[in-house]
Amino acid sequence: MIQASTQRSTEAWLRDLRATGAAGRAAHVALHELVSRAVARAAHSVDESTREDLTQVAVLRVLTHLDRFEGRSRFSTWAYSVAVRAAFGELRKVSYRSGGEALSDETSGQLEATGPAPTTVAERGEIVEVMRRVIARELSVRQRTAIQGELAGTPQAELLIALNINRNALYKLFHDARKKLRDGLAAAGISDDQVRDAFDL
Amino acid sequence: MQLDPETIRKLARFTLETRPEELSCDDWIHMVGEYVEAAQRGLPLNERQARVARHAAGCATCHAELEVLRELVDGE
Repeated sequence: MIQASTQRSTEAWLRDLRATGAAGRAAHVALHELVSRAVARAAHSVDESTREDLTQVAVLRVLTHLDRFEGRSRFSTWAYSVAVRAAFGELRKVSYRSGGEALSDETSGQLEATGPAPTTVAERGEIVEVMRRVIARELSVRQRTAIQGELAGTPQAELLIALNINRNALYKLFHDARKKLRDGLAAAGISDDQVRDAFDL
Repeated sequence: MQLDPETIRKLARFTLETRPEELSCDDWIHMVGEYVEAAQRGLPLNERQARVARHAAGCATCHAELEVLRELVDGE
Protein backbone atom coordinates (compact mmCIF):
# COMPACT_ATOMS: atom_id res chain seq x y z
CA MET A 1 0.00 0.00 0.00
CA ILE A 2 2.89 2.34 0.68
CA GLN A 3 4.03 2.04 -2.91
CA ALA A 4 0.56 2.94 -4.16
CA SER A 5 0.78 6.47 -2.77
CA THR A 6 4.50 7.19 -2.73
CA GLN A 7 5.24 5.92 -6.24
CA ARG A 8 2.61 8.13 -7.80
CA SER A 9 4.38 10.95 -9.63
CA THR A 10 3.95 14.55 -8.57
CA GLU A 11 2.35 15.34 -11.90
CA ALA A 12 -0.14 12.50 -11.43
CA TRP A 13 -1.00 13.69 -7.92
CA LEU A 14 -1.72 17.23 -9.01
CA ARG A 15 -3.65 16.17 -12.10
CA ASP A 16 -5.74 13.49 -10.42
CA LEU A 17 -6.52 15.36 -7.20
CA ARG A 18 -8.10 18.06 -9.33
CA ALA A 19 -9.86 15.57 -11.58
CA THR A 20 -13.39 14.27 -11.34
CA GLY A 21 -14.52 10.72 -11.93
CA ALA A 22 -12.58 7.57 -11.22
CA ALA A 23 -9.14 9.16 -11.41
CA GLY A 24 -10.11 11.80 -8.88
CA ARG A 25 -11.63 9.28 -6.52
CA ALA A 26 -8.58 7.04 -6.69
CA ALA A 27 -6.28 9.98 -6.00
CA HIS A 28 -8.32 10.98 -2.97
CA VAL A 29 -8.20 7.44 -1.61
CA ALA A 30 -4.42 7.40 -2.13
CA LEU A 31 -4.10 10.78 -0.42
CA HIS A 32 -6.09 9.56 2.55
CA GLU A 33 -3.74 6.58 2.79
CA LEU A 34 -0.64 8.78 2.62
CA VAL A 35 -1.96 11.30 5.14
CA SER A 36 -3.07 8.58 7.55
CA ARG A 37 0.53 7.35 7.61
CA ALA A 38 1.75 10.81 8.58
CA VAL A 39 -0.94 11.18 11.24
CA ALA A 40 -0.15 7.77 12.69
CA ARG A 41 3.47 8.84 13.10
CA ALA A 42 2.59 12.25 14.53
CA ALA A 43 -0.19 11.04 16.81
CA HIS A 44 0.72 7.47 17.64
CA SER A 45 -0.68 7.60 21.17
CA VAL A 46 -4.28 8.49 20.31
CA ASP A 47 -7.09 6.02 19.71
CA GLU A 48 -8.14 4.95 16.24
CA SER A 49 -11.22 7.13 16.16
CA THR A 50 -9.28 10.27 17.05
CA ARG A 51 -6.62 9.33 14.53
CA GLU A 52 -9.23 9.11 11.80
CA ASP A 53 -10.63 12.49 12.81
CA LEU A 54 -7.12 13.95 12.60
CA THR A 55 -6.64 12.32 9.21
CA GLN A 56 -9.81 13.91 7.88
CA VAL A 57 -8.66 17.33 9.06
CA ALA A 58 -5.20 16.79 7.58
CA VAL A 59 -6.52 15.60 4.20
CA LEU A 60 -8.65 18.71 3.98
CA ARG A 61 -5.64 20.85 4.91
CA VAL A 62 -3.55 19.29 2.12
CA LEU A 63 -6.31 19.82 -0.44
CA THR A 64 -6.90 23.45 0.52
CA HIS A 65 -3.16 24.18 0.32
CA LEU A 66 -2.49 22.50 -3.02
CA ASP A 67 -1.72 25.85 -4.62
CA ARG A 68 1.16 26.34 -2.17
CA PHE A 69 2.97 23.27 -3.47
CA GLU A 70 5.81 24.50 -5.67
CA GLY A 71 7.13 21.16 -6.84
CA ARG A 72 10.52 21.58 -5.14
CA SER A 73 10.09 18.26 -3.33
CA ARG A 74 8.13 15.11 -4.01
CA PHE A 75 4.44 15.67 -3.56
CA SER A 76 4.33 12.96 -0.91
CA THR A 77 6.98 14.75 1.19
CA TRP A 78 5.11 18.04 0.97
CA ALA A 79 1.80 16.37 1.84
CA TYR A 80 3.43 14.63 4.79
CA SER A 81 4.68 17.97 6.13
CA VAL A 82 1.28 19.65 5.83
CA ALA A 83 -0.42 16.63 7.40
CA VAL A 84 2.01 16.46 10.31
CA ARG A 85 1.44 20.13 11.06
CA ALA A 86 -2.33 19.70 10.91
CA ALA A 87 -2.21 16.71 13.25
CA PHE A 88 0.12 18.41 15.73
CA GLY A 89 -2.02 21.54 15.67
CA GLU A 90 -5.21 19.62 16.42
CA LEU A 91 -3.50 17.62 19.15
CA ARG A 92 -2.26 20.80 20.82
CA LYS A 93 -5.77 22.22 20.82
CA VAL A 94 -7.16 19.03 22.40
CA SER A 95 -4.36 18.92 24.95
CA TYR A 96 -4.87 22.54 25.91
CA ARG A 97 -8.65 22.22 26.23
CA SER A 98 -8.33 19.13 28.38
CA GLY A 99 -5.92 20.42 30.94
CA GLY A 100 -3.92 23.47 30.00
CA GLU A 101 -4.29 26.76 31.76
CA ALA A 102 -4.17 30.12 30.09
CA LEU A 103 -1.40 32.48 31.05
CA SER A 104 -2.61 35.17 33.34
CA ASP A 105 -2.19 38.80 32.40
CA GLU A 106 0.38 39.10 35.14
CA THR A 107 2.56 36.47 33.54
CA SER A 108 3.68 38.82 30.81
CA GLY A 109 5.26 41.10 33.34
CA GLN A 110 7.24 38.41 35.07
CA LEU A 111 10.28 38.42 32.86
CA GLU A 112 12.37 40.62 34.97
CA ALA A 113 16.05 40.92 35.56
CA THR A 114 16.68 39.74 39.07
CA GLY A 115 19.29 37.65 40.81
CA PRO A 116 23.01 37.89 40.63
CA ALA A 117 24.62 38.16 37.25
CA PRO A 118 27.14 35.51 36.29
CA THR A 119 30.50 36.96 37.11
CA THR A 120 32.84 34.16 36.17
CA VAL A 121 33.68 35.95 32.96
CA ALA A 122 33.77 39.73 32.78
CA GLU A 123 32.42 39.65 29.26
CA ARG A 124 29.48 37.56 30.38
CA GLY A 125 28.56 40.20 32.92
CA GLU A 126 28.61 42.88 30.25
CA ILE A 127 26.40 40.79 27.99
CA VAL A 128 23.93 40.19 30.79
CA GLU A 129 23.71 43.88 31.50
CA VAL A 130 22.93 44.65 27.89
CA MET A 131 20.25 41.94 27.85
CA ARG A 132 18.69 43.29 31.02
CA ARG A 133 18.61 46.78 29.57
CA VAL A 134 17.03 45.64 26.30
CA ILE A 135 14.42 43.52 28.07
CA ALA A 136 13.49 46.31 30.45
CA ARG A 137 13.47 49.21 28.02
CA GLU A 138 13.00 47.93 24.50
CA LEU A 139 10.82 44.82 24.52
CA SER A 140 7.07 45.24 24.47
CA VAL A 141 5.00 43.34 27.00
CA ARG A 142 3.88 40.93 24.28
CA GLN A 143 7.45 40.39 23.12
CA ARG A 144 8.43 39.59 26.69
CA THR A 145 5.56 37.13 26.95
CA ALA A 146 6.63 35.41 23.72
CA ILE A 147 10.25 35.07 24.69
CA GLN A 148 9.39 34.07 28.23
CA GLY A 149 7.11 31.35 26.88
CA GLU A 150 9.85 30.02 24.63
CA LEU A 151 12.36 30.02 27.46
CA ALA A 152 9.96 28.26 29.81
CA GLY A 153 8.76 25.72 27.25
CA THR A 154 5.19 26.97 27.55
CA PRO A 155 2.86 25.03 25.21
CA GLN A 156 2.32 26.99 22.05
CA ALA A 157 -1.47 26.63 22.23
CA GLU A 158 -1.36 28.30 25.63
CA LEU A 159 0.64 31.25 24.32
CA LEU A 160 -1.57 31.63 21.26
CA ILE A 161 -4.66 31.92 23.43
CA ALA A 162 -3.00 34.15 26.02
CA LEU A 163 -1.86 36.56 23.33
CA ASN A 164 -4.88 36.03 21.08
CA ILE A 165 -2.73 35.67 17.97
CA ASN A 166 -1.92 33.05 15.36
CA ARG A 167 1.22 30.97 15.09
CA ASN A 168 2.91 33.26 12.58
CA ALA A 169 2.33 36.31 14.73
CA LEU A 170 3.73 34.51 17.77
CA TYR A 171 6.86 33.58 15.87
CA LYS A 172 7.21 37.20 14.73
CA LEU A 173 6.95 38.46 18.32
CA PHE A 174 9.63 36.00 19.33
CA HIS A 175 11.81 36.92 16.37
CA ASP A 176 11.45 40.65 16.97
CA ALA A 177 12.38 40.19 20.63
CA ARG A 178 15.48 38.19 19.70
CA LYS A 179 16.41 40.75 17.06
CA LYS A 180 16.21 43.57 19.60
CA LEU A 181 18.49 41.62 21.90
CA ARG A 182 20.91 40.96 19.07
CA ASP A 183 20.84 44.59 17.93
CA GLY A 184 21.38 45.70 21.53
CA LEU A 185 24.46 43.55 21.83
CA ALA A 186 25.80 44.81 18.50
CA ALA A 187 25.20 48.42 19.51
CA ALA A 188 27.21 47.77 22.67
CA GLY A 189 30.09 46.52 20.53
CA ILE A 190 29.65 42.87 21.52
CA SER A 191 30.34 40.44 18.68
CA ASP A 192 28.85 37.00 18.05
CA ASP A 193 32.20 35.42 18.86
CA GLN A 194 32.29 37.16 22.22
CA VAL A 195 28.80 35.83 23.00
CA ARG A 196 29.83 32.32 21.95
CA ASP A 197 32.98 32.46 24.07
CA ALA A 198 31.23 33.87 27.11
CA PHE A 199 28.58 31.15 27.17
CA ASP A 200 30.44 28.23 25.57
CA LEU A 201 27.99 28.15 22.67
CA MET B 1 10.68 34.06 35.52
CA GLN B 2 14.04 35.32 36.58
CA LEU B 3 17.09 35.85 34.44
CA ASP B 4 19.11 33.09 36.02
CA PRO B 5 22.37 31.97 34.41
CA GLU B 6 20.76 29.15 32.43
CA THR B 7 18.04 31.44 31.11
CA ILE B 8 20.63 33.99 30.07
CA ARG B 9 22.58 31.28 28.28
CA LYS B 10 19.43 30.34 26.36
CA LEU B 11 18.86 33.98 25.49
CA ALA B 12 22.43 34.24 24.24
CA ARG B 13 21.85 31.22 22.02
CA PHE B 14 18.60 32.72 20.71
CA THR B 15 20.36 35.93 19.74
CA LEU B 16 23.12 34.08 17.90
CA GLU B 17 20.53 32.18 15.88
CA THR B 18 18.64 35.34 14.95
CA ARG B 19 18.79 36.63 11.39
CA PRO B 20 17.27 39.88 10.11
CA GLU B 21 14.96 37.97 7.80
CA GLU B 22 13.60 34.66 8.97
CA LEU B 23 10.98 32.37 7.52
CA SER B 24 7.54 32.46 9.01
CA CYS B 25 6.17 29.13 10.21
CA ASP B 26 3.64 29.23 7.36
CA ASP B 27 6.30 29.61 4.68
CA TRP B 28 8.55 27.08 6.41
CA ILE B 29 6.06 24.24 6.19
CA HIS B 30 5.91 24.54 2.42
CA MET B 31 9.73 24.54 2.10
CA VAL B 32 10.73 21.91 4.61
CA GLY B 33 10.19 19.02 2.19
CA GLU B 34 13.01 20.05 -0.14
CA TYR B 35 15.33 20.45 2.84
CA VAL B 36 14.53 16.99 4.19
CA GLU B 37 15.01 15.37 0.80
CA ALA B 38 18.34 17.15 0.23
CA ALA B 39 19.56 16.17 3.69
CA GLN B 40 18.44 12.59 3.16
CA ARG B 41 20.56 12.41 -0.01
CA GLY B 42 23.52 14.07 1.68
CA LEU B 43 23.43 17.00 -0.75
CA PRO B 44 24.88 20.40 0.18
CA LEU B 45 22.16 22.79 1.27
CA ASN B 46 21.25 25.75 -0.90
CA GLU B 47 20.28 29.08 0.67
CA ARG B 48 16.56 28.25 0.80
CA GLN B 49 17.29 24.96 2.53
CA ALA B 50 19.72 26.61 4.94
CA ARG B 51 16.95 29.04 5.93
CA VAL B 52 14.68 26.08 6.62
CA ALA B 53 17.34 24.58 8.90
CA ARG B 54 17.88 27.87 10.74
CA HIS B 55 14.18 28.32 11.35
CA ALA B 56 13.88 24.81 12.77
CA ALA B 57 16.83 25.49 15.05
CA GLY B 58 15.00 28.43 16.60
CA CYS B 59 11.41 27.21 16.54
CA ALA B 60 10.66 24.26 18.80
CA THR B 61 7.28 23.56 17.26
CA CYS B 62 8.59 23.38 13.70
CA HIS B 63 11.55 21.35 14.92
CA ALA B 64 9.18 18.72 16.32
CA GLU B 65 7.39 18.57 12.98
CA LEU B 66 10.71 18.24 11.17
CA GLU B 67 11.67 15.20 13.25
CA VAL B 68 8.45 13.40 12.34
CA LEU B 69 8.82 14.33 8.68
CA ARG B 70 12.35 12.94 8.64
CA GLU B 71 11.10 9.64 10.03
CA LEU B 72 8.39 9.46 7.40
CA VAL B 73 10.72 10.22 4.50
CA ASP B 74 13.42 7.89 5.80
CA GLY B 75 10.82 5.15 6.06
CA GLU B 76 9.96 5.24 2.38
